[in-house]
Amino acid sequence: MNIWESVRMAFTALAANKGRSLLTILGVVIGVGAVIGMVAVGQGAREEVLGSVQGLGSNLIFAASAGDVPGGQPLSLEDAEAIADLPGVSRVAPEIGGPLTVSYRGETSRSSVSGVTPEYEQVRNATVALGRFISRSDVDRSARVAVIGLETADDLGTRELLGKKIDLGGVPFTVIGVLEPKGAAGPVNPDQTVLVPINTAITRLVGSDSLSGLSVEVGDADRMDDVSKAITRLLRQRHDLIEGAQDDFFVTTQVDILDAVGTITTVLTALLGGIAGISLVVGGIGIMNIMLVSVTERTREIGIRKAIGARRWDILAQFLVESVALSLFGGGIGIAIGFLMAIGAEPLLGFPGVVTPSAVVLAFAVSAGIGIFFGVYPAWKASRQDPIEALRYE
Amino acid sequence: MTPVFRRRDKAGACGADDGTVIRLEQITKVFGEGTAQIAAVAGVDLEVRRGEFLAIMGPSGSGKSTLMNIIGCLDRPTAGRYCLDGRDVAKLDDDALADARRLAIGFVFQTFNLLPRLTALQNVELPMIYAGVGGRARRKRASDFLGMVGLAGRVTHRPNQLSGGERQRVAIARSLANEPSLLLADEPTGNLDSKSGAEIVTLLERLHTDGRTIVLITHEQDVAQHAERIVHLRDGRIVDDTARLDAAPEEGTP
Ligand SMILES: Nc1ncnc2c1ncn2[C@@H]1O[C@H](COP(=O)(O)OP(=O)(O)OP(=O)(O)O)[C@@H](O)[C@H]1O
Ligand SMILES: [Mg+2]
Repeated sequence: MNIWESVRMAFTALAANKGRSLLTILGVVIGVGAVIGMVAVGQGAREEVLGSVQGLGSNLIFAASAGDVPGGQPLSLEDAEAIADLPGVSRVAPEIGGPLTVSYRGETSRSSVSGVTPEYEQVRNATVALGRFISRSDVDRSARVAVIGLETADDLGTRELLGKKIDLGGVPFTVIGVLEPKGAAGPVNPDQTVLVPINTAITRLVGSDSLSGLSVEVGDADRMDDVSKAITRLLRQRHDLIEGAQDDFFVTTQVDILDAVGTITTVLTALLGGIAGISLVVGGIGIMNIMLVSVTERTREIGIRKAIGARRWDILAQFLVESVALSLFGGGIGIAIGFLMAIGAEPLLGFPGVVTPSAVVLAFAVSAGIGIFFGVYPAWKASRQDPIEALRYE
Repeated sequence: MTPVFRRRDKAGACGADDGTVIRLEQITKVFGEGTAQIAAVAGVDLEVRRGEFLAIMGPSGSGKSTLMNIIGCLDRPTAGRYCLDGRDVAKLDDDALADARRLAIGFVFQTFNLLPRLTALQNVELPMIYAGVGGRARRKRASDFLGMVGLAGRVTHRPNQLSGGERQRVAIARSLANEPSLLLADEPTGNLDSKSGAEIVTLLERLHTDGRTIVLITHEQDVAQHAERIVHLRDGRIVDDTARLDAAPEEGTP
């Protein structure tokens, strides 16, 4: 028998029992919808975080003090200058500072306040939307000027801050620039920030020249590993660490961070998808249940079909096509619902869910697989009926 | 005419190749277990030649339908040997039996066994679907057969919209769908008035003249009169087997 005849027969049978077919489909709809939606949320989170790590700049190496190493030295401006002289390094942007309360006319904002050098602009990809960035002479003069992030401005109640004086820990600073927003992601909000000249930070705000960290831009992406090793060697030497002593600093490349973020978000996606997958299995069991009932109810029909010469395969195909049709139909609606979930995630989570074509293809394949897997046993049972026994069934 | 078996291999060969289509040797069918056992068919020996028109008669419960189910490859005997067209049926697997039922045997059930959700036309189409006949040819042939049994105006009716006699005629049309060489009819005129019954008998005679082998179960003496040979069954045994010399003359036979 032609497979189209099986398909036609299956649809006639399913249409004859619309209510039941729809309820059976519902299980698969929820399962596939949940999987697609959850995976989309996981993927969305991944792209968001990866995007913000890449938004930091390109070919970056980060260094910071390890802090809790006994006898360890903090990173200093001299360390940063020495790193800048290493071959392969194009720029170094040292940073100093931490969270601080910013205020303007009674409005306050808890922002990350960093003392930086002009290199920060290129190294960390910080674009000024209004005004200008911190210049060399600002640093040399320890000028009390600041470049602020958009969210800090919003916290302070106005975006019209250019030329105005804001208060950082009791010291007035003149706003000379406003940063282009980067979008919030990760633990540090890049838009809730205030940048000041590094010397001003040392003398007016922090009172010490221990760096909180430094970013190194490498000219050639292929040399990242070499440069990162050279920095480690240089810092150990500068910090007088003897052979075998623990590093009193961390050196991480952007690639390391991207890898780590990638791994975490892949696990997250798999976890979300896996939990949602359980509901898909439940949906499949629902199909199996209904198909078993259907096979029993239609025993006489099976008997008649066999009596007039249907082979086992013909009966098997008929019932298998029914279960696959149910699960594919459910899968189709489920994919649509998954899309809606992905769109609906944006206002809730702050980033859009991402439905990849491969997820859709996979969802279809999995629904077909569910239909076959959970349909085979009922269909096999139907195909094994003895014709005369089935004809006598009341 | 479709031969009963298409592939002629020696495996499962039985009986002499002497024009015998059906050869039953000590066929027995026992139902139930222990003390409740009934031998519905109790040691039947029967040979039917190719092209023969045979009627089986006997009181109700004498095992006619049970025997017919065995002949039609629907049921397997408890004991005895059944050779169908030179093949031992016991040695055939389920799919080979399905092939025989689909292509070589037309079966008219005493209880019709139509699919209630399909129309008369679709019911007649069904054996052709399983035989792989294409949609258009199939519908044409199905409506031709329905016309042949006088149901041209009832093609879109479902079984529950048809009278008992009309259902019986749909069942007959369906049994003819794949042009079987062996037609087994279990009381095909049981629900018909004498006029429509006579039409069916005329149809059977015509199919017989075309070369088909026909086995007919009937209670009616005047229907049996059209057969060449009448077998009487009682309590699962053949009690009488008479060739009728005055049967309807067979064309082409001297
Ligand atoms: N599945 C079964 N289980 C038990 N007994 C059965 C079964 N099928 C038939 N019988 C018994 O076998 C006997 C023969 O039945 P069968 O249907 O062959 O009779 P029949 O000659 O066709 O009768 P009728 O003329 O009424 O159709 C009956 O006594 C019946 O009760
Ligand atoms: Mg009977």
